[in-house]
Amino acid sequence: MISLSHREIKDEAFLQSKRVVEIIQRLGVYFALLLLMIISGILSPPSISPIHLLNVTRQASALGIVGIGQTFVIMTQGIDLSVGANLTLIEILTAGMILGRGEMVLPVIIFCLVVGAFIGLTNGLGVTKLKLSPFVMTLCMMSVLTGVYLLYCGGSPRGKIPDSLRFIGAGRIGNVFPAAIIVWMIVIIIAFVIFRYTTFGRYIYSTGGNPQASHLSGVNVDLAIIIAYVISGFCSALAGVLLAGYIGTGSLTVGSGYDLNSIAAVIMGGTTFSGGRGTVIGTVGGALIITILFSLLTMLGMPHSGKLMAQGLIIIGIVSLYTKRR
Amino acid sequence: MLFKLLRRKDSTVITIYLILIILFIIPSLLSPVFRSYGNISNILHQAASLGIVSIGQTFVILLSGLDLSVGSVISLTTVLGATLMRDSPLAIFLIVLLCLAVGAGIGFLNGFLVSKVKLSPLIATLGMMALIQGVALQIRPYPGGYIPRSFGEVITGNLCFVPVPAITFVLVIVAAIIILRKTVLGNYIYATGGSEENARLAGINIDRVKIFAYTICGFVAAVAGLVLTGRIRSGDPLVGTSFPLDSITAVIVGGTPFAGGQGGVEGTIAGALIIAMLSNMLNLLNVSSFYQYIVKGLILITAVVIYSLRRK
Repeated sequence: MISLSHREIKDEAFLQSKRVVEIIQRLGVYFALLLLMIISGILSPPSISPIHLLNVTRQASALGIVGIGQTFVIMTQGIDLSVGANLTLIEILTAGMILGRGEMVLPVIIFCLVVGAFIGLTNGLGVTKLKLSPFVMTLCMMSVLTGVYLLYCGGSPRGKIPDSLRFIGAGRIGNVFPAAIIVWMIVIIIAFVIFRYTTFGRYIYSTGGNPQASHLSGVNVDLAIIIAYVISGFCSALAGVLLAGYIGTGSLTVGSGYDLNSIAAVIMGGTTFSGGRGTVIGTVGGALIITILFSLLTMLGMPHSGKLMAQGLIIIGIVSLYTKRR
Repeated sequence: MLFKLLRRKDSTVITIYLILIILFIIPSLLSPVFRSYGNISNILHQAASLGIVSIGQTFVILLSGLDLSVGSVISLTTVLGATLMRDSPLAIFLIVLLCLAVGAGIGFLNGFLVSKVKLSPLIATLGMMALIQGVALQIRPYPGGYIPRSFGEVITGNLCFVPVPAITFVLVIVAAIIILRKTVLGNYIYATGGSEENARLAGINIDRVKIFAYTICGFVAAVAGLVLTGRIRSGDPLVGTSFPLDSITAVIVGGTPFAGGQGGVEGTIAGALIIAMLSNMLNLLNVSSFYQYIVKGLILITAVVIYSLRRK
């Protein structure tokens, strides 16, 4: 009896130390973020002023929201390459359907979010029921969606966004705090709660960790994967609506880069391609790193080419550090 | 060779060639323009660069990897060529060697990151794609530069009525088939793609196999870049943008699954020809290029669904 409780205590201590290691690993992306901010503070002092940081966080919110959807998918050993095309389609649809009419804002937003979720549903069904590889399924979806939005706008997107939606995308509460960050924060909290406190969140972790075992323990693996893709589609659509509010009109190029940058944000945040491991909070850090990096390089007057080179090196560098440590 | 293919157990390759033949015959019957010598040689010109890249991509996908950096390598090759080439044959020769070495070097780095640093192929080649794209844009922000007339004429000319790009394509195909089917290295690639663990236990140095496959992929992308340089006769830092996804599509449509370990370049050739022919056909039919995105996506998905149903 005594020895048993002793052993329990030892296990407890072991688990505690393991938890500490895990926390440090999880915070790794925030150490990198801090380092990046120190470097940018030295290279360009105005870049760490609170106003500028709020601005950068506002810029990061669309990528952050897409990244959170991508986290769900990558957690199930999947990948969603259609987020960029989905975002562009929704951005163009929002601008093209509202046409500056204030009373149309709510119905159009709801319609667009449903369309985004439906795109995710199609991806999920393809991956689970047709057993297609996620890469191929979402690649096809990307191609098809590109065709659809080009056809919808005939190659030249139009539209005007009324003030109410413009406020959500570009406005500031009390002239200080960008409203888009609030949207991002709500998404973060919901995703955090889903992963931490709901059965579905546990299903996602277990499905990604070991689909076979999860299936045998009675988890509906297919359903968990489908919902993950639906969430990803929904998040991309939400980011599309937000960007429509920011830009104020349709744009063909708004979604380019979101596929790869969102994947990079997720992986930098410590979620692994092999699934079952990772956090929403890590992805938030990853999205902030990518955006702050780009903003720093812009402030330093670096041309597009230099930014791309830095981006490539940073992605490879940070992810190598992660991989080495495991 | 056809007989040998027919005897092989998996009929994937036969199916894909049947589809290719049908896709060729129907529009040939309908449109005299499509079957004209000019148009067919046009298709071959277009298919050559995509086909060559796709063959490199096949090596990587056989190892259940993928290479997203091929497009950047192609862009960098055209940019390097257009910036450095001069009118003397020796200079042209040296620049061609340089481009091939740069391509192989980039492929080697990809292989190193994937095998030794153990990055996922997607992340490693994605980072490399951004990096090399940056280098290409740094060297030449806008399309332009100078390609000697002689180089362009040799690369895009005809040899006994056969376009030179098609000949280059065939040479790459033959080399790839010999490597994959006749050498030990080819066996190693299939074994590693089938099961890394088993291959390792059987004593195969899987790191070296991976590095080799990625190096080939980079090298072959540079070859495709040179073919393209001859065709567009200038350096364009963004000319390769569509190649990564198109080449992956060609490989998958050609019957090599993402899981690796089976399939081969025979199917990839048909995959690349189908993609090139389809664009050409839709253009001749006056179909808006917007629809082509949708058609491409649907074709890829149909092919994959058919393959996955068959493997059940």
